[in-house]
Amino acid sequence: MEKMAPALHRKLGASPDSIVTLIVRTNGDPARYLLRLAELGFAVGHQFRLLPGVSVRGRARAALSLLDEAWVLQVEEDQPVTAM
Amino acid sequence: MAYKISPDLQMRMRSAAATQPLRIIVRHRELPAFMSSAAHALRAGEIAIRRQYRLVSATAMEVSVSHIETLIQDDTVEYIWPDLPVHTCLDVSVPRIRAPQIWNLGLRGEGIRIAILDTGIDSQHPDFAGRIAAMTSFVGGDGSDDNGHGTHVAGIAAGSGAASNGRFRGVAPAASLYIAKVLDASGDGLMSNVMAGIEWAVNQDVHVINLSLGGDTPGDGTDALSTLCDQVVRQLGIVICVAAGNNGPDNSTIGAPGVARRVITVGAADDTDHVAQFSSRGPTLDGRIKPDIVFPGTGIVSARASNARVGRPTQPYYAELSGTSMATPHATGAVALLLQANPNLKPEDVKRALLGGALDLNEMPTAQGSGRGDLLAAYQRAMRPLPTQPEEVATENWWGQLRRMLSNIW
Repeated sequence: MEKMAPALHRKLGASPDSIVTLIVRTNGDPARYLLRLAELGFAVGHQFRLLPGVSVRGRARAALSLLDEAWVLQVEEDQPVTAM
Repeated sequence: MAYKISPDLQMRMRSAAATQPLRIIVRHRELPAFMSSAAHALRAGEIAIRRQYRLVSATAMEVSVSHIETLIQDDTVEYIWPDLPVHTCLDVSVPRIRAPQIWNLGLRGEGIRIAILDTGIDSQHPDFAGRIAAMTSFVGGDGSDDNGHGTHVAGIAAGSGAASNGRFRGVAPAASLYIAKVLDASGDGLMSNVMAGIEWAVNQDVHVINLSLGGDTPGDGTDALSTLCDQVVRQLGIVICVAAGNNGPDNSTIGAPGVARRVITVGAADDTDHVAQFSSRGPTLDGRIKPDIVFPGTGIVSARASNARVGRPTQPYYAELSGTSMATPHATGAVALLLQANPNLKPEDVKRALLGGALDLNEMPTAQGSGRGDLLAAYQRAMRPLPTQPEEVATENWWGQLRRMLSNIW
């Protein structure tokens, strides 16, 4: 499975300085990667244990750099949900 | 001529301006005679016909108050009523899915833990007294409902009806409630908040999770939220009921997490047992049938939060709302009763019983799923010895289900 959907890749590349919110699936316990995420300039929201990962907020440019991190399994937008 | 008008319409006319449009139902002589008599007013736009009926000679229309006076003088007009709004109270929708028959067996959800991930709850509402086991929030605050949606949803799943002498009782009125606020006062949130809410609910050891929420983007079930839902169902044995969404009647309008494979995705049926126009349709982007089932979801009267922003108040403690959000807690309550009846059921057994017992509404599988939920029929299936079944219930693709349907017909 690709780490990032092509549409999101294009969107991030088109405005690398924009602020984005993401869900990042990690290889194992996300707590191990908090320092690295901070180095990349991300603010971490929730940490998930059942489906290991984190929600983060940061620059689109940094989001693209996550694709080079071996521990990153998948990156997707933290999409809005609404009451139905 | 006053005898031609119902008393409640007379009252409404007295308090309305002459030009104000009113919706009325006119009983008249045979249709051609009435239409001929009303032809001039129709051409002039003074009458807007909304529906004509065949079994009775009657027409629903919108006219000004002053034109009602003209209709009274029309010899072809026999009687005029106001066209009043109708709603499906819990005292209608809950019997429709045959929940009271299960209550009569002594099953009301005792010992079953239901998580509602929504806008929170009005914990002071009498219908939940003593049954809110835990509350939390992932969007600030303490889980109190500042929107009204979550309280309404909780009332459908498990309201006791205490504030209405039992009239507006939910499907599993004795279940325990675990409330996670994951949507803000506007009813909006992020997938990550819902995921955090699900992890919290898992830690509370709940039996069933209600998600009357979702995204607008059609999906294939590989997003993080849908993946988490599938994992919780498969690995932890927790049932999750998810709203299909309100983006119908176009096809492929179900977003995450309604597109998750193992959840029970719930569409809405109206009070005439047709799939509601607004109810989102499948298939999913990868070609699977969704929703799985439909439950009543139009004009549902349930618990009203004291500071509710949504819903039409009908009584001090109750309000009316429509949506697949309202259909979903009917399913959640049904799951609670099935699990109380047979604690050995696994999520796939519960899903199979509900889908297998559903009443076929003769609509497209991508609109109705297996049909409208029938709790008594599901109960009868849930109490049978369970045959060995393939692990997954709802991963069959569109063509596979269509072939099976056609083979049943032929």
